[in-house]
Amino acid sequence: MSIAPFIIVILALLIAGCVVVLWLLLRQNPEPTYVHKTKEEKVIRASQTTEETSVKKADDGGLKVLFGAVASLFALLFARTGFMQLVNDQEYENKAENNRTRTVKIQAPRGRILDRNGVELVTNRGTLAVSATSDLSDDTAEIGLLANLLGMPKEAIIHALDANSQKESLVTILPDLNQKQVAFISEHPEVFQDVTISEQETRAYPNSTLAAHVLGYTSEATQDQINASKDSDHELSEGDIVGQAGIEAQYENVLRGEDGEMKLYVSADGSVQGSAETLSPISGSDVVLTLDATIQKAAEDGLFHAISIAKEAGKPATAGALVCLDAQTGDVLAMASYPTFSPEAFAGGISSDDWNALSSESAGYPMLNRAISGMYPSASTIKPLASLAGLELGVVDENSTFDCVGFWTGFGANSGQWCWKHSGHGWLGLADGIINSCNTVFYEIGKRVFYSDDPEALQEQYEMWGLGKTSGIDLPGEAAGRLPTPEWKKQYYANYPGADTTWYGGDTTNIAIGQGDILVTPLQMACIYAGIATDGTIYTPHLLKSVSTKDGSGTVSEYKDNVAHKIEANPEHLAYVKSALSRVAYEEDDAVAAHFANLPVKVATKTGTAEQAGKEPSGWYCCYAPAENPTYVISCIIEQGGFGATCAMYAVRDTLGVIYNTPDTSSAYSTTQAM
Amino acid sequence: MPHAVANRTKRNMHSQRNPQKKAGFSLLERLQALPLFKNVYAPVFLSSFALVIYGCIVVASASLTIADASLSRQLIGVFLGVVLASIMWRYDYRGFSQMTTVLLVLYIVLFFLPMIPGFSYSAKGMTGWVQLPGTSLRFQPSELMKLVLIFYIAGVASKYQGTIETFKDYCILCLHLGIPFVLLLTQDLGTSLVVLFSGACIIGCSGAKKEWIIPTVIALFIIAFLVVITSMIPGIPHILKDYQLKRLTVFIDPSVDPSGDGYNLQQATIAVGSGGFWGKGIGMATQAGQGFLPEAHTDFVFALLAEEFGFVGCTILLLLFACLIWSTLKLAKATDSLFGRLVLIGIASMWLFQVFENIGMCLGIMPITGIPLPFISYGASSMVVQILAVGIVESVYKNRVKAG
Repeated sequence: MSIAPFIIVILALLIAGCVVVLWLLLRQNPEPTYVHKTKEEKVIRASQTTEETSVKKADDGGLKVLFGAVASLFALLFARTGFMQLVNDQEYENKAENNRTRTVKIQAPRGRILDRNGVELVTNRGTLAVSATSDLSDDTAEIGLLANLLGMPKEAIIHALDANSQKESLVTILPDLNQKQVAFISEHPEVFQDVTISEQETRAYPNSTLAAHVLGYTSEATQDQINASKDSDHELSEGDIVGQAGIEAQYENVLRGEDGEMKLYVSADGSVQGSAETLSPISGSDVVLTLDATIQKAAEDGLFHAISIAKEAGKPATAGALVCLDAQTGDVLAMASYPTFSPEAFAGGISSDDWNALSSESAGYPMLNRAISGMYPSASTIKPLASLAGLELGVVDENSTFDCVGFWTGFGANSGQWCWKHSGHGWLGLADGIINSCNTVFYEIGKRVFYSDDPEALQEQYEMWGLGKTSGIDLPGEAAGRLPTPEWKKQYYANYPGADTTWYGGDTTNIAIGQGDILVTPLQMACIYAGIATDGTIYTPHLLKSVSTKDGSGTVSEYKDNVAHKIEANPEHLAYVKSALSRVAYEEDDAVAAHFANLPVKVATKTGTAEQAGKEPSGWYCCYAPAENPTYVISCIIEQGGFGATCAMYAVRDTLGVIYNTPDTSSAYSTTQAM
Repeated sequence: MPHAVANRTKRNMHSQRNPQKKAGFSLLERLQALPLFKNVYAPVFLSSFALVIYGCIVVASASLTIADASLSRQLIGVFLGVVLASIMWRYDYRGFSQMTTVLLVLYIVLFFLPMIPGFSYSAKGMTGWVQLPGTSLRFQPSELMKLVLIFYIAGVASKYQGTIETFKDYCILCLHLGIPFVLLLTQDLGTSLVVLFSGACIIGCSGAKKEWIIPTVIALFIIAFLVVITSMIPGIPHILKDYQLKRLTVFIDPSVDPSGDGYNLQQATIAVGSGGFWGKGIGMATQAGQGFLPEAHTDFVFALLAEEFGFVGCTILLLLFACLIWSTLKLAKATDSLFGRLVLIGIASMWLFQVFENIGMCLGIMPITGIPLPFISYGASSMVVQILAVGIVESVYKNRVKAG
């Protein structure tokens, strides 16, 4: 081979010589010289052959036609060659280039997701993926073998190949192979001709299911997402990994990098001859969350603990949620929802069975982030706000007293309503009403507002604190809850034939005690308690702390705290309600007091028990700590867990126990019936 | 008297073209006067010599990337061809004029040779090959049949001494061509078309009347048209094989069959066009070298050449072929022996047809047929026969004055 070019050059020179000589020859007389010879030698001689004796010659007509044919056909070939090689050469050049190059996308690593202290919540893990070219679809035997090896149906492989719009590019069949599969494929290259194994990165979750609802998950872009991304600044294509829920979806733009491209030279049979150029991928940026992994862990464990206790008490306790905020900033320190799921299940493409299990009612909708999407009647946890509203509206004051006889007949004996304590609380003030969660006190407040100049003033007060609206947290899928008004009732029940669409005083008193149609999310309750703790400033709850580049060169951008609601309430009224809250845990119930006794700080708390028709009541527990100089706000609900003090309280106490490093040592069990 | 007429014509032509030049001073004459070229017709010798070398370069470069192509095998073909051509050159071609029966028998033997069990050889779907028993020598008899038939038709036609008097004679002459053609047509469409074209050119120059030739040509086209049309209608017997019909449809619309012949055609045009002015260089052809262009060293060798050597290389190739064919026809015109003249016409038209069909196919202006490009395509059988044809031309020149 090394000598071949040398020989070729010499041969080429020889040709060139011949061409020059021929050109010179043809430039000269093209007539063969022997004509002259024949003249001299007297051309024709007698010949022995019959043919040679013939002196007749056919006329030159046929030859002339042949000369003409040679000239015109060669002119045609020459013209066509020139046209193709000189005029249209670029077009053919491009086609030739398309033939031999194949573009392979290099997936950019997604940014990591970290907690506020830099603990990795989501990171990437290198896997070996098997991918194939569209040639594979012609080879049913190979598909069969591959399907067997990978343990996936043939149809799935065929579908993956068909879905691939770019025929020249590789399509991923399975993103995560085990060592045995890798070995088998590499040992049988003659069988798996159209298959390649390449390194890819998939999401990894070092803390397993921790904060799964907040983090969300990633998977291949759906057809709808691909269609929707058309004409946007980032067009998705088949096989692109995108965030589908939680932070992964919310900060998709930040987390995803820019995919690189590798241009490969291939031969007709698809084997790679070399690489042309490579465009390196750019990693996505890391997202730092406000979550504290330790508190998050405590919240999730606490939630599970509380549910276990409720179950021991014979309650269904199917689900629960807990939110922990920093009242001074709106930072979400922990957000837990039960039941949970494993985002890892999505990393390698989720099977339809797994997906059905995750989205079924029987499994309790584990994908649902109940902390932001679960809506429940607020129950008695709304009472501090109702008290404050009553004070602000002037329907009650610090010296107001109420007589609870167990059955309140403020709207007449026919429409009387029970206090949870049927025996009655007797005479008590507003603060005692909060502490003992006496319904009578709040029925009275509701009635007074209902009969005031502005019967909807209670709702207006609630709305100022953010009820009936989304909090604006940076997560997809947040629910707004429901703040019933006469107008709402008219519209809502219009769809139910025969339903009473009139707004009654009882509707207002229901709002005052947080039962009935009012619905709130655990996050909204946390925000209200944060607002009370900070004397009326509610920061937008948020999970983003900062965004930093992958190489750790520094923070790119830091989240700036943002006030969502600034409530101009009378400080005296606020102080009154806060002082009542700070006494609840220690005065309402001895058992609860026992649980909170060893904490180094005083905690302002409130229980609640939401009644829902046909179900066990759901237990609420909201608090902020320390009571004097509040930082941490926690709200927790256990669905169908019974009284707040007997279920949700445990989750809250466990979380506080980790925050203040004083585990709950009490085994006291509340026997309260307090709502 | 006719001698004198012939002489005068030549002198007139000569004096008209070079009125100012005196005979005996042109370069051609000087070259032709060299001892080497005493009995060798220089333009045909030099252009075929250059073409053979060009072909070896192309095969050598193809062998860099295509495993099937082997320069040494090609050189064996060249060597054999040169030996046979030298023998031919020494021998007086006119001997063949009296051997029409022998030639016909030879033709039939060559035709049936591949069907004899001991001789037949087939591999990779090739048919019509002969392997000598006990050896690994293989050749395609159909290549040699082209030359045999040229001699045969020229021999038969020259018996009419330049004027075919009656229509009956003309028809008989046509049958002498038609029967061997149809015979070969059943086996090898490409070669049979070469035979038909060169035979027809011989008949056309053998004194047949225009009034007969033109209707014959028209009739041939109508028959060909009918053959194609009937082959397209399902249910009736087809003369064309499916793949042959497909090649015609693909020629009209290459996108019809993007994986078969349409693919070949598209890849060939891409190879030619992407060559550009200077070409991609030896061994740098991506179309031919990476397997996109099928048969890049045999049928589609022009596309490989065009891709590697570009417009410059194509122009040189076309010039060499044009020179070869043109000067062969020139020699035919000047040859007084009718047999010799018809043989030269047959050979020149064989080259013309093969070159135009093969290159035209690569350029997308002719349908695909499996006809090799003379002197360039890889294949020893073709090389031997083409060099032998050059030997025949030189034999005509050498024996221009003397009787055998």
